[in-house]
Amino acid sequence: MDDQQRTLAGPWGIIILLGVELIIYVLFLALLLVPGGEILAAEALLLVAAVFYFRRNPALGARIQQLFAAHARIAWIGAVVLVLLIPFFIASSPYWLFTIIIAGLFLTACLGLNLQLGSSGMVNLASAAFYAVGAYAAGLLALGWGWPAWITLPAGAVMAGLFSALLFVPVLKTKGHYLALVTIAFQFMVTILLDNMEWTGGPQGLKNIPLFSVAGYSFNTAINLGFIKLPAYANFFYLMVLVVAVVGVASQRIYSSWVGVTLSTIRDDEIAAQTFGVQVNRWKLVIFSLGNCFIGLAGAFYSHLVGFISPPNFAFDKSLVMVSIVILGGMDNVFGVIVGSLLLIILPEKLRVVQDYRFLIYGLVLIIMLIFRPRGLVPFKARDFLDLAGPVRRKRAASASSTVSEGGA
Amino acid sequence: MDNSRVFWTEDLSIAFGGLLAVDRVNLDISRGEILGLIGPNGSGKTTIFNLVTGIYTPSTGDFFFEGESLLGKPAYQIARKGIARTFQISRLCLDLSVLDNVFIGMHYRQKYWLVDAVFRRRLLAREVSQARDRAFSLLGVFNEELVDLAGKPVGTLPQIDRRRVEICRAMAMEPKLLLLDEPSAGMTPEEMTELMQDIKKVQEESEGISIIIVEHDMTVIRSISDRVVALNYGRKIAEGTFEEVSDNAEVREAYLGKRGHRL
Repeated sequence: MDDQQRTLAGPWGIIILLGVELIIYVLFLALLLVPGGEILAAEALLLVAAVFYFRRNPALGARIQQLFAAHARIAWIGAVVLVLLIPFFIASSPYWLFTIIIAGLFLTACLGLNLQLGSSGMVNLASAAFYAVGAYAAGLLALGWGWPAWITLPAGAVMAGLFSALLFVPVLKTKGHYLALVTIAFQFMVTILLDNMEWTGGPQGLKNIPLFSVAGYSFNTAINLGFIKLPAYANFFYLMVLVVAVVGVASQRIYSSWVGVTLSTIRDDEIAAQTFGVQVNRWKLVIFSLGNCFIGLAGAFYSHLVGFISPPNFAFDKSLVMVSIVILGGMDNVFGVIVGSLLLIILPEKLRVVQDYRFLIYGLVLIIMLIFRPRGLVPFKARDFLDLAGPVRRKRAASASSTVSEGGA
Repeated sequence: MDNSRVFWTEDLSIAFGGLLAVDRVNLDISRGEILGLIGPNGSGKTTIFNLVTGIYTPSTGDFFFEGESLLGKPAYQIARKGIARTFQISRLCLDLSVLDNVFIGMHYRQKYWLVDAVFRRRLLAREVSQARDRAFSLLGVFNEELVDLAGKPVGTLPQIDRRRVEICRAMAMEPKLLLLDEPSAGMTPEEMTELMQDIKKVQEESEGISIIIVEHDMTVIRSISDRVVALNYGRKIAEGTFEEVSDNAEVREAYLGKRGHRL
C-alpha cells in the first residue's frame, strides 16, 4: 500500500490521472459525435459495468480519489484545458455545441437552486420564473434602452434577486411542501402575466434581442483560426464557461466556509440553529435572493444567446427539470449539479434517435437512478475542514493514518 | 449569595390551551453552581428550557440573565447572551461532520460573511485552523478518540459520543449558563457515569459556568448537583439539597404514589 502510494504521488500518478480524465472526455465526446443510438447503449452498458466493478473493488475507487486529491491542481488544469478544447472537437456540429451551452446555463441556474434547495432546504419550484425575470429584464433593457449585454447580464441577475422579495413572506413562514406549493403558484402567476402583459410582448414574447457583442465584436461571428473554423457558438461557449466558473467557484466557496456550515445547520434543524445564535431568517432571505440571482443570470444569458424569448420558454416544466438536476445530481454538492445538468440536458437530446420512446426511456432512467442512488449521483459529503487548513492536517494525518481521507474542497 | 446569581426566573408560566405546563416557577442559579431539575414526565422541565432559550414565549412571568430581562427576545439573541443548551432528543446534524457540528456553536463569534466566504479564503483558512484547534481541545476534554473522528459524520458515532459532541457544541459557545436536557437518556449506567465525570471536567475547565441539568436518574442528580429543584404539574414543589428534596413527602408522592419507599 505504501509503495503504491509513493508511485501515485510521482509522475506515474499524474499520467494515470490525466488518463482517467481523458477517458471520460473521449466517452463524452463520442456520445455527441457518433450518430445513432448504439453508442449510447454501449456507454450505458460500460457505465453499469464500471459501477459494478467499483462496488466490488472499493479500494480502487478510493485510490483514484486519493490520486485526484494529491494532484488537485494538475487535475484542475487538465480538466479546464479539456473543457476549453471542446469546441475544437465538435466544430462540425454546432447543434451539440448549442446543447452544451444550454446545459451550462441550466448548470448556472441549478447552482443557484442548489444554494436554496440543497444547501438550505428551501424548496423553490419557481426557478423557471426567476429564469424568466432575468431573461425578460435583459431583453427589455437591451431592446428598450439599448443597454449592452455586459450590463444587462448582471442587471438580469439583480432583477431576479429583487423579485425574490415577492416571496420573502412565504419563504419565512412556510417550509417543505407548503413552500413548494407557494412557489408553484408564483411560477404560474409569472408565466400567465408574461402571456398577458403588452409590454413584455404577450404570447409573442420578445424578438430580435441583440446577441452578445463586446467592444464591437459580435458573438455571432465564426472564429477562423486558419487551421480550423469554429462555429459562432464557440464565442458563447467560452462566455458560458466563464460564467459557470465564476458561479461554480462562488458556490463551492460558500459550501466550504462557515456560511456552508450555517446553511447546513439551518437545513437540518432550524431550532437547533436558532439556539446557537444563528439568525435563521436573515440567512434564508439572503440565500434565497442570491440563488435567484444566479438563476436570473442564466436567464439573461439565454436572452442574448437565442435573441428570442417567449413565455413557453419559462414554463413550469423547466422548473421541474432544474429541481430534478439538483436532486439527481446530488444536493448541496457542486459536482453533483455539474453531473446532473450534463446528464439531464444532454441525455434527452441524445435520445432523439429513439424518437417516440424518448421520454419513456428518460423517465425510466430517472426512476432507476433514484432507486439505486436515492441521495443523488454525487451525494452530499461531510465538509472536510481539515483539508482547508492544510498544514495541521498533514501533521495529524501522519500521526493517525486512519483519519479522514476523502478530499472536500 | 444573591449578588452572584446569574440567572433567575420570576413567576415563569406558560399555558398550552387550558393546560398550565409551567405554573409560576421561580428558579435561580449562582455562578458556578450545578442545579438539578427533577420531576416526573410532563412536569414541565423541558418546557422551562424551551421558555428560557426563546423557543416558546412565556404567557406570564419574566426571566433574567445577568440582571437583564430576556423576555420576548428571539432565540438567537438569547443564545448570544451566553445561554447554551443540549436537547433531550439529540438535535445534531447527523450528515455533518463532528467538526461542523461543533463549529456551529462558534457561529456568532465569527465575524464572517457571505462576501468573505467567497473572496477572503486566507482569512477563512486562518479562522478555520483556530476554530479547529479549539474544537479539538473541547473534544479532547471528553475523549481523545473523538478528535480522530472529527471529520466523520456524526451519524456514524455511537450514542454516547453524540451526546458528547452535543455538549461540546454547546460549550463551543463559551456560555455562562449551560442547560443540559437529560444528557444520559438512552445510555448504559457505565456510560452515564463516564458522561457525568466528563461534565464535571468541563465545568472545572471553564470556571464560573453554571449548569442546570434535567435528569431522571437520581444517582446522576445526587452525584452532580449542588442543589435540586423538584417540579410536578408545572409547579415547583421542593427545593434544597438532594437529601432534603428526596425526603420531601410531596416529591416522593409525585414519583412513587402515596406510600413510596425511600428513593
